[in-house]
Amino acid sequence: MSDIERLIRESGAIKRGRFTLSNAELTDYYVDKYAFETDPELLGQIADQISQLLSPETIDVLAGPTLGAVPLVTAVSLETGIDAAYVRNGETHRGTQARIEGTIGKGNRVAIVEDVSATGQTIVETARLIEETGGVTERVIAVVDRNEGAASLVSDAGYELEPLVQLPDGFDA
Amino acid sequence: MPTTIQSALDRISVDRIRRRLDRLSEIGATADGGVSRPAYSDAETEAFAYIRDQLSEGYTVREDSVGNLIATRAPEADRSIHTGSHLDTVFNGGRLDGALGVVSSLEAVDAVYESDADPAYPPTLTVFRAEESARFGHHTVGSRAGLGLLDVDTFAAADQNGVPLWRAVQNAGFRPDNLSEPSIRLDRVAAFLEIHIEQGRTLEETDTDIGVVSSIRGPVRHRFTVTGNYDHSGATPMTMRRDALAAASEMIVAIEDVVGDAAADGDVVGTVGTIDPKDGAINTVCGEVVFPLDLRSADAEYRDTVESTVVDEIERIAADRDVEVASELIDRTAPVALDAEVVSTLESAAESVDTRYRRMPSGGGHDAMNFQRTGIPAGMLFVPSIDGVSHHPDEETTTRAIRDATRTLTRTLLQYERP
Repeated sequence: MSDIERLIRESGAIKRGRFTLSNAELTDYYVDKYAFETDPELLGQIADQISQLLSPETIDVLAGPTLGAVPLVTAVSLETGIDAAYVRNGETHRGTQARIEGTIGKGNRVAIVEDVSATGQTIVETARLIEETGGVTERVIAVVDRNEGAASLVSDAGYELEPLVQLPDGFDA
Repeated sequence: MPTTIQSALDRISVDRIRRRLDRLSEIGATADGGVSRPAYSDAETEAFAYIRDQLSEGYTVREDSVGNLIATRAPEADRSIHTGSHLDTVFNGGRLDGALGVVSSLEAVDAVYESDADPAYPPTLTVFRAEESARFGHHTVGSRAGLGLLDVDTFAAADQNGVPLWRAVQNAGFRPDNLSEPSIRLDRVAAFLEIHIEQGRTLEETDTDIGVVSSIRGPVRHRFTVTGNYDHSGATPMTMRRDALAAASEMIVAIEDVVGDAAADGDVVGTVGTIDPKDGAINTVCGEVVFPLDLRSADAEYRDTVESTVVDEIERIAADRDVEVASELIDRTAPVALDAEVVSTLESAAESVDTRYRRMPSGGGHDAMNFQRTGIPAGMLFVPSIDGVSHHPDEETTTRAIRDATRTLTRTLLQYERP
């Protein structure tokens, strides 16, 4: 287990449950992103780790989907000096500019930073929006991947998901 | 009138009901004068604490593992009539939906215990969590859990922040480990009764004070996808278009016509409610449109006949316009007929309190329907929704209806008996 994974688990961010319902058993878990994003020391360490993967020489903008990735993108932006952008997903805006706060210019190389990935739909939608504004998604980083299909959906879209922590198959903390 | 019944009715105070409603409306109050008490929010928990606080010392009170509140002054009774409703609301909703049922049931239950009555089934106040589907997309969660009906899909459902229902229940302080069995002793429940606002216009427009609900309409829901051709709006002659948006519009108006005609001969309502043109724009002939259909009736057979007619019409329009239409069934739920004996007792009670009442179906689902589905006799009383308003800060009813519904409920608690 990596240091970051150990710290995230110790923060209590991963809540699990096992329940007996009327029709079957339910085993499920929930990753509380705010548990690690509101702890300045842990957030700092996560931002450190992500920053080591990126450089202002190869990345022009960090983009994260609201609301969950905003603290992460901000922390990494402060550390690396790379510009930040925040992408609003799941809202019916007309035109892409209303959905992105910050600037992603034509040809800008973008790193998407996500807090928790599950199916990968948010990431793929974010990448599509970036493409529509003329940006180029170079990296896709998630703090925690729930191993629920994000890696393959993101790969189908032409990118590679790089999670800091990957929760294993049949996860049972 | 027997003095016992009168002594109970004399204890009912509409002022007290109003005061309690006022107090509840402060919990989760919004800037618009409405209320937001989402399922398993702190506000819902605070509302439960308030009601608990209003219970006098004689009550035995318990909370089950999902936070439903069950309170009675006769815990050893062989059988009890349960009565109550819910305290959660939609976002920026009204002050009566659920809350009126809880407060008026409390008033009726107190009236019975404080009188010299000795009812066949001493009543139990039951207050359910998470009735509204606004937060998690699933309705009547608390009553389903109480009846041992909660399924995996519902319990794993997440809100728009990704928080699953089970986590929200845990966050509210409960340990819902085993929900496979009812938390209520079902063999000891003689009936379930609920007072609720109508959320429609029938009572108000017919100058009626109380609706005695005879059945709960069951919906069938479809999702239709109409596919034509995307084309440039400026360059494409009108005769060469396969316009999915125009086709969908014709279909939606046809639905209104078919269901409108059918409603003259039987109980049915149908609604589309929303339309989603994919990549629609003013400069494009739209090639793909999705829209839903919600068809409801108290009579499943009639509803299904109307459904057939609607689908035939939609297919005819698609063929005429040379577009494709695909249909996906989202949901089919059987209507629920409420217990005839309970309905009849409620009507007699309404007659005795000298109120203007009528029998009617309920358009929406409620906690009561889950009891009936389990085989426990259930009944509901509606009070008018002024201007038909519901799920909105302006939600209101008449003082007379609150008084008459509570009196009718109290009489029923005293008089309902099954051999």
